[in-house]
Amino acid sequence: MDFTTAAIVCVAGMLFLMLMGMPVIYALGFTALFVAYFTYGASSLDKIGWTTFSTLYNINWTPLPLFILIACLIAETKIGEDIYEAARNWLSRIPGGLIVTSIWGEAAMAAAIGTSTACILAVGKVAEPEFKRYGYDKGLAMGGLCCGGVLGPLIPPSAGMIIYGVLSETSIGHLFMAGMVPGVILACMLAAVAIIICWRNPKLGPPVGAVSWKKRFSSLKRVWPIVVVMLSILGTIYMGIASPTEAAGVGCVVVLIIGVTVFRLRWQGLKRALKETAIINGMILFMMIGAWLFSYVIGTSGVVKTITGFVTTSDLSPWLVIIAINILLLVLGCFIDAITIMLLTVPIFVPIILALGFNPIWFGVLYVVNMQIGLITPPMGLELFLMRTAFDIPVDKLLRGVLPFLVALFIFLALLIAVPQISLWLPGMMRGG
Amino acid sequence: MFIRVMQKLDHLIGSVSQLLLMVSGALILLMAFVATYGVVKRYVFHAPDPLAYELSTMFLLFCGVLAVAGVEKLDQNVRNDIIASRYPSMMRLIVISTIFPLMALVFCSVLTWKSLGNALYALDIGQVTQSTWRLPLAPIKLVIPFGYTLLCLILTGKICRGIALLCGGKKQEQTEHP
Repeated sequence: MDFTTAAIVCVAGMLFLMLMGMPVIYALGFTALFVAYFTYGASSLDKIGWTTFSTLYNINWTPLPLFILIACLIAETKIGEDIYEAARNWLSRIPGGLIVTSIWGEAAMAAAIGTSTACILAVGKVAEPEFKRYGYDKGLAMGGLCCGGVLGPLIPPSAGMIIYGVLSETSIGHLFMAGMVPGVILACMLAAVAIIICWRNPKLGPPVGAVSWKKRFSSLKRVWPIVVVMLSILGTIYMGIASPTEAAGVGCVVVLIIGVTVFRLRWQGLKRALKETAIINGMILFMMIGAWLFSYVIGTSGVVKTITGFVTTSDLSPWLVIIAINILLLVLGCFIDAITIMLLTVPIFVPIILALGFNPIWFGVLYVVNMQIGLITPPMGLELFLMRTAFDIPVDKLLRGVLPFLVALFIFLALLIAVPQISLWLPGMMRGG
Repeated sequence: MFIRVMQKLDHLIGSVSQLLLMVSGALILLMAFVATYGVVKRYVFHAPDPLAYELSTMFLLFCGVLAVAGVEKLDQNVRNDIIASRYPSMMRLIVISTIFPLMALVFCSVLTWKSLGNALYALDIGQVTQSTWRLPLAPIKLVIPFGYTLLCLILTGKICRGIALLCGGKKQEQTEHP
């Protein structure tokens, strides 16, 4: 088998097996093994022997399990409820106040949790009964909640950015900071959408009613845990005191102390959090091994070099390439989950981006936003199915609710592409930036 | 008798994989303490300790490979269900419960075999880490084939169950439509 045929067989075989329902790790690993053996012979199997060690004995991956642990520990506490209540007290009088509350609640949770799913579930379990209680349109309210999930991996810390950072050999600390300003802008944009819709049609999301100033300020007393966690993670990275691994470690210890002392986190809750962390972490790290083997076959075939050479020598406008990559990622996101897309495409796209002279940190932010939009786009849209299962809402109703927020997300993506400084300003201000 | 022994064995392997899942979680928690220790040592005692990095990396490897069997046992590996959810039950049994685990077993067997060879080679040459601590790498590397062996056993159990269900299903079909 020649190298180009090997690459084509590898990609086609992997996609076929994956779409047939084979777990992604085995689809990646089996096709890579099969193609490597028939292309390079038995000697290629030796590479498989040290893949696990060379992939996992790597300090760059260490923040990942720690940030997952933070998310799982927070899920065992009532931090989400307290944040939601505080945000509701402050935002209740505006039209669509509860939707805005959910979005800003997710933004606050995102500063400690690195995944969209965890953010949606943490805020959603408190928000859903409130939506029902105040007669909110379920589709619109859940649509806002679902799109607010994008803030999870955008506002640091972020599991997606860690994966992107390691695969593209980009500073994770800088990537984290690059997501901060876009995250705040997106939270404002999504909140504005909810306010405008509910202002035009108050039946969809009526104002909740007046809340005394005393109650508002007293609810703020309970948001300190998330502020402390946020400062212990982001503050230490921004000030250059700790590496992402150390910041994540400190964050875990802080969450654990707060959990045990303030929220009475006990052995059963800790056990659940540890088990959940081990499952998510084991699943992701095992996928990394399959992806490494897959990248080895694709990389040695020279396909990436050929594509990069073609893009850089052709007369294509670099911006056209960026837009094409974004469209491709969005389309892939409708069918394949975010981590798989990252593992498969980052090693291909990043060399192209670098060859075209773009900043990999800026591209990382685009990447994460793209992946998240894919997660709420049918037919695959993992988060749509999560919402359906967790909150018992028909997908078509949810889709109608998601649509206006999705438009805002696309405008936001265009804004990020057009104005790279939105992402690059804060990393430039960092120590060593 | 044979079936009962197999069932007990399957139960034992399942329990071990779940135990290792907890060990993996505990290692992640330990990693958090080690990272915090590293920061405290550097900023409070002004005595940076490279062991924190070394241990974190080692724990990462351990928590990854020790969890894979448990993840497989709980069927938590990411998969795309767009087409698979529409399979008829018999095809589901053949493809999802038998053929795919068999293909996965082939891949995992190679991983086990080759990583064991790699670990034994590290033992032979007395390979050590590159840090100042110069820890022996062979014991660290031996954890990899251990985790994968357990994964292979879980997959073998799945294949056996798939075949058993398949035979049971065919027998049932024959009784219903002789």
